[in-house]
Amino acid sequence: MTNSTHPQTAALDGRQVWDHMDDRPVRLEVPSWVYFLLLVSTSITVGIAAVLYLPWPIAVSNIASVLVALAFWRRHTYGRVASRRILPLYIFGIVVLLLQGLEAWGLGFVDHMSGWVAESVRGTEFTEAIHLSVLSIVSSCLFLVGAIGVFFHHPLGSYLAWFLFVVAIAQGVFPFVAILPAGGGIYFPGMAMGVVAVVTGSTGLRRLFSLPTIDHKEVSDA
Amino acid sequence: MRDVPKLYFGLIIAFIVSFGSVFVQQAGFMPFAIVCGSMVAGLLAWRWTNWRHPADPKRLLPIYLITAAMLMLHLWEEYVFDFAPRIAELNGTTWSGAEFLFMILFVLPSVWIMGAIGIYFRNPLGNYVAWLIFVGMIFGEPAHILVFPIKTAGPYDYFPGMWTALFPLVTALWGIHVILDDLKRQRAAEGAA
Repeated sequence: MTNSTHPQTAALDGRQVWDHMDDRPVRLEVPSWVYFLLLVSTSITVGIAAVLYLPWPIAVSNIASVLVALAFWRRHTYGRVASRRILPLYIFGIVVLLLQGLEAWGLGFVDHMSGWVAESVRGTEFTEAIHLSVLSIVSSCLFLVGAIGVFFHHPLGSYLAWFLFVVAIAQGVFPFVAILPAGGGIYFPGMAMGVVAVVTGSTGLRRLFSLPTIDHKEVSDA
Repeated sequence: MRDVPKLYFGLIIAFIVSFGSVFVQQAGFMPFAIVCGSMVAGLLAWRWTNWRHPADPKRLLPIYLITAAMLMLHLWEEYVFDFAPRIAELNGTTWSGAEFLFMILFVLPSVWIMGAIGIYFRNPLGNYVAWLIFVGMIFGEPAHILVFPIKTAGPYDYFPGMWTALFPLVTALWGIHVILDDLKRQRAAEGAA
């Protein structure tokens, strides 16, 4: 049966259909440049939030880590994805950062920071709740999601792998940089695990550079 | 030749006893029963199932990672909304926020995130940690909906951790299904060989 009065309908097997949608499987193909723009947008947003709500040294450290990781990802893994074989070191890196967070929290990171910078540029006080929530708990959750992304060869997972290792170096170095402006002394909370974090981060970056990357399109077609 | 799974069994018992003896004093009986009960139940489940047949990491690891991520999110909700003092009130203990942070937000997550490496390398100990987490989600998460708000004086109301409690439970059930299915396949393959 056809509807001869309406030119946009079509007859199909005796049925009238008003649209041409079907239920065949559709693969969402996301171009690499879309991931790149997503990462750039996220970096800008997170950067602004970091400046508004975190003390500027921590904001600068994290923004720099985001950008360095983006540069590495763009240079080495753009259009490709990291190998799953990075996962053991990546997961170890999450634990190292968590333990550094424990050391920092337990030994008064927030109090020591207040000897240098106690507030964000917006005047938000840097509290233990912000320190723990942002720099330990939520980041661990994000990195665990990143591990899933690495496992499934997702480009954003690959970015998080680069980011984790860069941030491990940045957070490892931070206590050594902070110690003088924060009032001197021989110890700044997070220093001991910071050494482990730097070693883990550097090893992770070396491994990411040396492991073969996988063509993202090959993975998508698999 | 040393029986490695039996060695792991001994190590796990030692860990449960050490952790439990500290935890019960800090948190009180109810959290101790849930957390250490899960450790023991996970140990038995592991012993009775795949302690000598670790699951294929390609099947188990992603589900474990999803569960771990959701569990961290759940713990964050508990931290933000002061779970420890509320539980202390129910139990008549003095479980402080600091003790909660140390044990539940740092020490235990370090153990279970390291467990993911064990799962990756198909190590029996990593598979025990998977059982621990999955069983823990089955025992502990529904309590946020069915036990804690009811035990609190007053009408049924929000209890810290409630909003994110049930999601790790779903992936935990999925994880157990995968472990058991993988074990069945391994045994079938051994039988065929």
